[in-house]
Amino acid sequence: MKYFFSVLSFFVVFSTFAQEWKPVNGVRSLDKLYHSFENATIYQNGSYIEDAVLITKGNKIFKIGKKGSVEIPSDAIRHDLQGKFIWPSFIEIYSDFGIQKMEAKKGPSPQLESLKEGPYHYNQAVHPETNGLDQFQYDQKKAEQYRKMGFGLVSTIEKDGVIRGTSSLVALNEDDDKQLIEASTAMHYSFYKGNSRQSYPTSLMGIIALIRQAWYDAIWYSANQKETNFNASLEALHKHKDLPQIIDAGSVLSVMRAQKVSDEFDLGYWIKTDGTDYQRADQLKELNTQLIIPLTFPKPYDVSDPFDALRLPLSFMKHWELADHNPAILNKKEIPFVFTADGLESEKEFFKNVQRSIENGLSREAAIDRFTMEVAKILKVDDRTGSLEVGKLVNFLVTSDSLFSESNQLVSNWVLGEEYVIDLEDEIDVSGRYSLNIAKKQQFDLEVSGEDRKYSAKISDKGEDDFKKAKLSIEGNRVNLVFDFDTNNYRLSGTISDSLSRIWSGKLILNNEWSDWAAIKKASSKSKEQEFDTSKVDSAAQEIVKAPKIFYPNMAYGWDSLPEPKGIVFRNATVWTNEEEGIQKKHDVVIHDGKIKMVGYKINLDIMFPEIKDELEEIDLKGKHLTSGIIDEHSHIAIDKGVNEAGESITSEVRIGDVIDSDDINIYRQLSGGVTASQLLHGSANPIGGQSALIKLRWGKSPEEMKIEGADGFIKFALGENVKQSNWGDRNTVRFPQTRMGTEQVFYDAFHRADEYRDIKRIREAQKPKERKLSTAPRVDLELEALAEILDSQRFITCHSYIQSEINMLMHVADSMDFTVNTFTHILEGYKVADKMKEHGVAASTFSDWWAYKFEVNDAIPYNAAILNEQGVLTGINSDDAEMGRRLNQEAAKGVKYGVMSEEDAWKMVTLNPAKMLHLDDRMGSIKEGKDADLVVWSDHPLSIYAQAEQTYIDGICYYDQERSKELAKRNIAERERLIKLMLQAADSGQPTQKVKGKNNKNYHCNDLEQ
Amino acid sequence: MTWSNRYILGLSFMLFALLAEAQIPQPAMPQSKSILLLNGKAHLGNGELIDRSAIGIVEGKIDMVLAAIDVRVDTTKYDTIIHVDGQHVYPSFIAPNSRLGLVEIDAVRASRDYDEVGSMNPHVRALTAYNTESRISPTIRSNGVLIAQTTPIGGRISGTSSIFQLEGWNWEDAVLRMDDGIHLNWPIDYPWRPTNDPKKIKEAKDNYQKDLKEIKDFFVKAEAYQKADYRLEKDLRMEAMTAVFKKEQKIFIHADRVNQITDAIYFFDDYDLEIVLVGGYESWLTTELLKDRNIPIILRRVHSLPMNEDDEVDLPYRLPKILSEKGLLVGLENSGRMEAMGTRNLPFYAGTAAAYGVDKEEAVSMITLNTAMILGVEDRVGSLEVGKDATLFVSKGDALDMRTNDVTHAFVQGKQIDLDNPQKYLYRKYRAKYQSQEN
Repeated sequence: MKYFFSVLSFFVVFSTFAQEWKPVNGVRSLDKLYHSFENATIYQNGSYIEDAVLITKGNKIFKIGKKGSVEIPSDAIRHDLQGKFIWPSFIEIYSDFGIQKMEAKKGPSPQLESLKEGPYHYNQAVHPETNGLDQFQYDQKKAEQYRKMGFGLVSTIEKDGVIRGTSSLVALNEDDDKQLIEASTAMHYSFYKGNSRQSYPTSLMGIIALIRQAWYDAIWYSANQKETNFNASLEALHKHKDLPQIIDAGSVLSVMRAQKVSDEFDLGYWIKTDGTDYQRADQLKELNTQLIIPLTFPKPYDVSDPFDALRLPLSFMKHWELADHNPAILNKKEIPFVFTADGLESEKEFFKNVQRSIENGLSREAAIDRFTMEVAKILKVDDRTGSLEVGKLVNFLVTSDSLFSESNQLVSNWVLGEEYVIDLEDEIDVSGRYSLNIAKKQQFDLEVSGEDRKYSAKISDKGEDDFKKAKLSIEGNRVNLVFDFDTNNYRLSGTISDSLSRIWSGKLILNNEWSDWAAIKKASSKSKEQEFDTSKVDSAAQEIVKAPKIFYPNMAYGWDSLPEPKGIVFRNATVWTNEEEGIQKKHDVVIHDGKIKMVGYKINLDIMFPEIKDELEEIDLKGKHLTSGIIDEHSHIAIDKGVNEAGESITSEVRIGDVIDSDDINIYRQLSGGVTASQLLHGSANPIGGQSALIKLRWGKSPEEMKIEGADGFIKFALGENVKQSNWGDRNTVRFPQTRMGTEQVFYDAFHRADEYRDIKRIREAQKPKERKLSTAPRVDLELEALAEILDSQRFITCHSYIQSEINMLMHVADSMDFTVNTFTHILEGYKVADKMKEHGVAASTFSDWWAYKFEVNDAIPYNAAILNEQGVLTGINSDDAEMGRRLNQEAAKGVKYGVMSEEDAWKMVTLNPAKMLHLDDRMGSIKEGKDADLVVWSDHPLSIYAQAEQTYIDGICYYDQERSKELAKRNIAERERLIKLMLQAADSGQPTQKVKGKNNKNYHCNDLEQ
Repeated sequence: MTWSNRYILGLSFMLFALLAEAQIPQPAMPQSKSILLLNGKAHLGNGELIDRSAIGIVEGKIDMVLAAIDVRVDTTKYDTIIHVDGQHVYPSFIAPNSRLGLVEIDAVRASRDYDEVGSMNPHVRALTAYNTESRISPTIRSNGVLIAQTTPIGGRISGTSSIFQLEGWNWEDAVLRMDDGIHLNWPIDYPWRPTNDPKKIKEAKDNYQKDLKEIKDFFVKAEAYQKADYRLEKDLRMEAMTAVFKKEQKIFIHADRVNQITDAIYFFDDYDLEIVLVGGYESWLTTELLKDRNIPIILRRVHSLPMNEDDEVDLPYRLPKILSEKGLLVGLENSGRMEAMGTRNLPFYAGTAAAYGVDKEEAVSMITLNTAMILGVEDRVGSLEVGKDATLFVSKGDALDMRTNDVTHAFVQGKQIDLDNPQKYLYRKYRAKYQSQEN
């Protein structure tokens, strides 16, 4: 009796009686039994326990420790795991396991509004109210695959939408009572629109704006819940703000974009990447990103056809080489990250790719933790799982060898206390050399080779040589061997003695009689992998494998290391000052520290610059021309995933600055044409487009580093055929406006609303603290914010325009709303209203000679720039085209050809005048002391077709040099050849390959839509 | 009133009407008087340069090309002497593979006449769709391009081109060479839109084989068709191929990728036809093949971006030099974005070729005599040589450079043409408006 109570109290302390709440069919079956796993090596939080014992009870870990130090309950089911290992099982953080995909609702095209009925978000791609369980149905097959990879738990949600909803954490356990671990584990976002066919958003910048606005709305909603209508989406988004927030971003550039959103709302994003993180690891570190990285490494490309291989860019080849270094590089930089198996095709690929990461310098333990404990911490279930500790769930793996070693086999995967055997057959190591005795008379040598249940056998009676093939099949521990010898046919059946396959024995029929046979293993063919040294776990001690060179950007013409500004004195140049001095022959220009220090004739450095003269490099420019850098007022290069947010008529909330593509080869190409700065404009698909980004073409730097510091804000507006969708086909006839009449009303409505928004904000600001407490803050409206900035002359319009009527119209709108249109771009009929433009004070940035491509440009003339300039309108020539962008000097020259214009004036159209339009003329646009050292060395008169840009400097850094470019071209070829050789070797060694592909040429123009 | 007075009065009346209407300049009357262009810097088009030249034009033809310094020129032979001291004289620049006359406004479907339905369309002819009233053509002439090969696009065989002078009342009198060749767009063996999808890549490869078969079947059939002595039933496609097989028409193969180019070359090894390669971006990898067979190239727009990300940034600019250096006959073309109206920039492509290594006179040849030879009209145009059509122009400065290109006189078959255009008209109109404001 005493004994009974002590046992009882034991249970009370450590457990409770199982209280079933569900009726049982039949008699109850106890499932909370003890299991004792003995003699294994156990991995526990970065270190190993050898000769350990792990005791479980039901689905919880009961005890764990060194053998001898742990008491094993007498009724435990005992498992001898001598020589084996136990690891916590993995947790998949990013999956759509078991999710029944929703059919995309198809509506009319174009679909301007959400088709989801009810109190939900107005955009169909935003559905934070969705929960993984809503669409969950356990998927046996997929579960098995996950278990084979070593996963015990997966977090799941449909991979659809921009704000996808909350994922559920489920166990890969077939008992559906036990599957759910946590209904809502994380809120998921992505930079992919998904199934929604609603027009908005059409671009990545639109997606980013949509997430931001949704959050501003959610914040406002939660503060005004009582006064506003119920909205399930905003409610859910705000309610789950304390859950981990996960976003599928993609490329390393998108990772940075996601981080910006995260910081704005303090979301603490865990960012799922495409594995290109290593390309900008230092910046990711600086930004404090937290990553979820894939193990999908590209297959080598099939480059056997050199002609075909021409299309394959170096950037793809380099990524092929570097992808499996990504985990090690991130680990070395101490950037927090976890793994996902998302996108992998098989468990084989999974283990192989983890192994590759380890070979490249990621420690085994770091890899394991990033599938287990680290993931559990993110999902806030580390109190229950993620490691092998008392009280945690019985989620572990038994392996034959150390995890992720090549010879390792995953023996079983225990999920919530239930065993899933992964590899029974291979538990028996049959391969090796046997001596086979038949009927105690005949003696043979038997050799068995192979693995993974695929074995082949050879047999001989003479020792080493002269082996003959035998047919061997093994099923569990049953063995069947057939062979011919000396006209006899031998058919053997038998049993394998044990897991080491020491003895096979059985019967055969020989000469019509049953006889005995036995085979005794002499040697195992598998040389056991080097004994695993559990003391060597310090990841810092692990030697980092030297990763292949990363270029900045990681592609053709990328830098080995980023360049530094130089001090230079240019001598004897023909200097186009763009100042009162005009064009000065045989002049010197001194630059230092990124700035122009002096312009003059025969500058004496000893007198003028005694302190820095030793740092100045002398460059003789005899016979050459030196100008300030070309500034392209209207460019669409270096923009990622959509230049137009065409989903709505007003999209002032989107920002090109969110989607700068620093890896666009056109940046380098334009440097070769003397361009140093560009306004990256939104397209012209809607009357009010997005906010511009002003950049310098700092090739190699990150998007944020390319932006011009402290530049004013600009925004794209548009008029005419594009905004009324005239050339979009017969379907696009529903979005307002479809006429120039409607376009005017869009503007008035937008500005009236912006004006009211401004008032609301002003009232709020004027409130006393007491009053403020009583009311709530107004909703932040990103669209109206930008428009209000225009009204406050804090943001400036560059408007795409053609026909004089509409040009005139917008100036009237601006006059009546008391602001000034900054610049008309295209402005091909500007010559018809030059006087009015002059009066309004708007600048003109036009093309030299484009026309006749649309109905509205039928009256465009190449004399446009000359007339505007003559009438005193600030006039520029811009590109709107990646090709023309690198010949803007020639386009400026056409100003002289068509009409009356001096060469100096023509030159200013691509330098000083755009600098003025962009409010940057205090630091760019001319060669003047104190201005930025953005300079171009020309081989000839810069307006001449024969002129080539020989060097292009930005901030005193030589970003382009014709001679160095030739060297880089050679390096590109050498690097290509090196990688091609490696890929051919990889293909030869049997690696599956992928076909060559080129890069999408996204040389955007105004009217291009992302597809 | 003498006849000539009446003529001038009539002409000026017409000019007045023209100004008022902003219409297309009226075609010039046939040359009645002989003209001498004196002291111009003559770029003959055949690589030669005469610093001070005397060029005689009689009855629409060039009857004299001399160096005025070396020879005493008998000026009395000519009715009119035009002194062009310090100016430059060029044979007409020729724009091959052009859409001029087949389109007015790209985005307006009603104005597009260059792309016919169907795959194999050799029978579809640019000739009769050519619009002499185009508002674009006069703006092209003003930069020195007086001749264009007006060419359909689309399909596998786009159709038959014709070569026009950009001057005339209708297509019949504007045409220089009727039905000069057919245009074959060689297929490509990879997806246009780069993709990882092995299905799409395989599909592209399979389609390529299908397309090759289509081409092969077509030429086999066409070759057989030509052998018949008499046919009661006519197949217009096959009929259109007759001149090609007789080598009276050329076959222009449009291809940029090296795989396309080599496949096309080997394919036509089996046929005795006049082959021209158009595009030829990667032809620098197959120069031997082209050279061995004397296949000339009409090189794709020089002012374009490299086709591959890794290509040298100035490769498109250097291609003329790379190819001509290998002894290939190279002409320059202008197809692509903004092509019809952009034809006026053809001279500057030659300028860039010169900037990137080609000798300046050879660069002139690439848009004059080389092109004329490639198109098979070198007996009529392409160079300033005695006996050829007096289709030429005078520019104040180097016509290959936009900084100096300023065409002052232009002649088509000896007729001095009106260099005005609707754009100049609008220029004058609005300049006048602002001048009146100042007064």
